[in-house]
Amino acid sequence: MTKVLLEVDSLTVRLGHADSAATLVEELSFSVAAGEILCIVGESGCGKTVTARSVIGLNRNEPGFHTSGKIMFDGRNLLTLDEPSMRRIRGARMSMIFQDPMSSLNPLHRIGTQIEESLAIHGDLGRRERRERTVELLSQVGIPDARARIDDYPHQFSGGMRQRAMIALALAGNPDLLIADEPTTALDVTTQKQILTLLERLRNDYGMAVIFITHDLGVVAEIADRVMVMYAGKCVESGTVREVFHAPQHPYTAGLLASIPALNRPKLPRLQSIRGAPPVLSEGRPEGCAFQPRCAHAFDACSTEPPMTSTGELDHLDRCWLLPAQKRHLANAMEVNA
Amino acid sequence: MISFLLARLVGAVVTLFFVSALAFFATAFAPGNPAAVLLGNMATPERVEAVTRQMGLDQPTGIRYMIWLRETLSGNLGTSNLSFKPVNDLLAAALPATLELALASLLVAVVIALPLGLLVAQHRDSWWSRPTSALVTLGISVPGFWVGLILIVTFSVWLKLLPSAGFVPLSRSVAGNVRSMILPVTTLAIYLIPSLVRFVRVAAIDVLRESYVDTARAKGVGPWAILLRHVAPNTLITTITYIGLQLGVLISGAIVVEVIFSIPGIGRLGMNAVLNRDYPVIQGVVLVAATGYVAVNLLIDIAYALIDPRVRTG
Repeated sequence: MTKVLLEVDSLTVRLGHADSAATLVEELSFSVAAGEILCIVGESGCGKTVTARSVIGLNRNEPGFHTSGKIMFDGRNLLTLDEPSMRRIRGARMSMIFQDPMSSLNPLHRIGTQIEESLAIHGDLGRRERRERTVELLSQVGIPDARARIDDYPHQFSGGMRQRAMIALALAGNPDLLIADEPTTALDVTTQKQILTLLERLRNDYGMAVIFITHDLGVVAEIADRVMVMYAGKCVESGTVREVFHAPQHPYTAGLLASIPALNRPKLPRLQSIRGAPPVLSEGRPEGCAFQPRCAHAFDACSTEPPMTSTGELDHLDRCWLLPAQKRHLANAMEVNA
Repeated sequence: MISFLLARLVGAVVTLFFVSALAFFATAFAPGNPAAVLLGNMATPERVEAVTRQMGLDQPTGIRYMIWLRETLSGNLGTSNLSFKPVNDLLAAALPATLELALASLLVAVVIALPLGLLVAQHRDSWWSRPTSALVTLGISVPGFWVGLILIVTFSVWLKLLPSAGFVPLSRSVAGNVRSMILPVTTLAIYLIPSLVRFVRVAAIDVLRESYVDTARAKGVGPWAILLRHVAPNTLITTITYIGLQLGVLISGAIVVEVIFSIPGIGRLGMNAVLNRDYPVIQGVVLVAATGYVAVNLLIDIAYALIDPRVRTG
């Protein structure tokens, strides 16, 4: 395996004051290798976005957020790094794109100006060179006639073009890690596909690692090398896309996979769904496994803390008490059933 | 852009037309006879009737309005019932002081309230932010005339630093003018600042939650640059609209301040005209105030287009 770029160790994020604090992310550990695309999947509110924002340090100054654990990036713990040093990393070593390209660009500034702002902070290019570089970046992400569009305002761009511009902005500092928080959710399917292809191409061209947050398993299948499934602020399963999709070890993952229509599976009168709803974290989490109240396979042991286990391969981990044989059955059942 | 401004211009003219009608009919239908006021309570009924006829007040209201409209459109606002001076001259004499007072106060208020509101919003969770906001809220509940009186007692009566009354025109002495305007401008600005700070604070907090502020942070922009380059301009869009709406407050505040500090401005002119049923002057003052209001809002629309590209090119 190539060198580890980012290593998150026991990340815990709490929001609120003392007793009433809700644990949004609990004891989360994962790593991203250089050039790797890691997808984080899970339902709304499972802590995906909070995790991503903690990595790039966007919620470190937000009131009420308490973050503990370690986020090692390039040999430094980002959680203990002071704000000026963190600012030198943001936009240069790692950058982030957001869900809604309609609102993630400043409506009052020209597209070019917003990209040049990043170049001005992190580089020593002159004004003219910055402009040239911006045109280059915009063409790279597939903005047609970039030189003519550089002085446009965001409202003159379509949704897909804005997301491309956001990606160009994120690329300005030549980052080693790009965090993409549901970057295709707000786009139509064709544009979505184009953006995914673009991200993959950029990863191949620049060897940039990507943390891709989504709730769309179709997107995961398309783009990810590895996938981490989150539930109620915890990782419940992680592994390569192949492993996780073909042999899900956690009932939640299996449930998610069974809930999407697929052409290679026999058609059922209705789509499978997971009964119940995820716990509301501000009201405290359930004892033991957070998924247990919704799980069809739950038994006594599930009401204590479930383990993080490996089934055979070391890089396929899951957090479930079921025996390996039962888990295999889970995967098979999904294919027959669904 | 051009069509946007043309539409606003037409709107402004229509507004002024309706305001002028309102100004005329509100005074025309008001009870009481100006002729009687003019002659005092010793006048005989015959004398009052003669003067009424002489002033044209015995004509039907519709006809009086047509005459009034024709004269107004040709730039003649009539003569004062009280001093028999042309209303035009009275307004022209009073306007500079009011303009100076209003513009200076607005400028001072904006220069103080805008940064303060932005700072309070950015540091909304620090220890000093809440007390500051509370103090500002307290400011809203203090009436303007009271602030003026406190300032007079402190700086004129007690410290003897500044004049308590009297207006020195700019044309006579710049230094004297500034000295005479410090207290009135301060009073009116204090009257305007609290609600403006509150508005800016709320608007800026909304902007700080916008996704593009996250984008700016994620690209490594420092907190000050975020505040100045990203938050402030976006806050300004809504704030400018609010300032336009606050002009009414500014005008009514100016009347109070002019009376307290004896500034011979539009407000005091209007006030005296109302007390004496000097209808032509009242109508003139209302027209001037309305024109000012409409003109400033037109300017605000232009400023809006300058700040926001969506208005300019959309």
